[in-house]
Amino acid sequence: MIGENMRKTGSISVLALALLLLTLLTASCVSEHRFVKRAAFKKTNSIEIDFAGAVDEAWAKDIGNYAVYEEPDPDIHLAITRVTLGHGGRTVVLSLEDDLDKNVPHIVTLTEIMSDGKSQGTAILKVVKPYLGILLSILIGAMVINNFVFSKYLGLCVFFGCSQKRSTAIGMGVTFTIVIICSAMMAWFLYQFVLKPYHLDFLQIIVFIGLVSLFVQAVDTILRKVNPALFKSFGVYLVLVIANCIIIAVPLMLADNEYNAWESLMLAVGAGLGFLIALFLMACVRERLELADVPPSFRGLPIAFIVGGLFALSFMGFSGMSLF
Amino acid sequence: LFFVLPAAGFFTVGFMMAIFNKVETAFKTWTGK
Repeated sequence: MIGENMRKTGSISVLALALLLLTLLTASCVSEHRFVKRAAFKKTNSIEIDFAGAVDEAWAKDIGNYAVYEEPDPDIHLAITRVTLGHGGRTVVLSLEDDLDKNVPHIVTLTEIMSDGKSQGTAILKVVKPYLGILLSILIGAMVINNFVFSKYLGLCVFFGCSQKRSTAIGMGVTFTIVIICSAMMAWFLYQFVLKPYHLDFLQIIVFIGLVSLFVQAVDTILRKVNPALFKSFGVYLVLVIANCIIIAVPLMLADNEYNAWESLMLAVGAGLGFLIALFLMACVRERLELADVPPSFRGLPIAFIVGGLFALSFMGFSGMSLF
Repeated sequence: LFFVLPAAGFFTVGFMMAIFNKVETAFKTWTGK
């Protein structure tokens, strides 16, 4: 009976999650014209437009019927090099001379669309990157591409202090992720609804540090009772999380970039998981280094820093990557 | 260069610490303490 209830609850949660993802995905498919079904970015320098019916080839092939520009710069029209007609005249692909900045919304104007010799009117379409893609970009970006430890050189005290044993590293990574998510969401709320409306932006660092210390203190109290062994293995580093650069950097970044709640959540989760990955990788190597024949002057932290440098070099390979 | 800087920072600190350790060991051997 209990198992059946749990299965029901599980399937409802999966359904709710799927609905949420679908909403986020479809939110990006903007079409303001009855004859145009969809307009979306394709590859690095193309825009694909789907029509409800077949358009006339003569109209479609005439580059003069199209105008593409970035929403903030309506005076600067982007050069269209080629128009490709496909799917029995229902799809038009505009190839542009330069690569598109997909983070900026683009406006596409279609002058007097002709279908079966009849005019369907002029369409002004807004092409935006799918919102789920933006969220995933922020998540993967904070986690791997711009990993705070290996690409931004932040949060090193806790990183080197808690990476000697794998179990401690995982414990610290999880604790850190929980603290960063809670404090970043709280910081976003306070920034958007208190600091910004009352022009108290200059207080943000003090407020954010206060918030982080609140959550760290809560974790400290809970962990002391729940898992004393893990609490002891953290030592002074749990309190040091208060002044951790990553934990302060995330609220400052989301305040600077004017992120909304979802984007802030993704940034916080990405930063936390990125730190967890970094800690885990480092702990795996340091456990092996304990048994290796390291020159005496390199034993301990020096070799750990050199390993950190090698990780930073390997993470450099992700830089400039664009997934969505 | 911006992307190489963190790696260079890690390497510099690692090698500097190793040099300090070496000097400290040499100093201890020299003074006999």
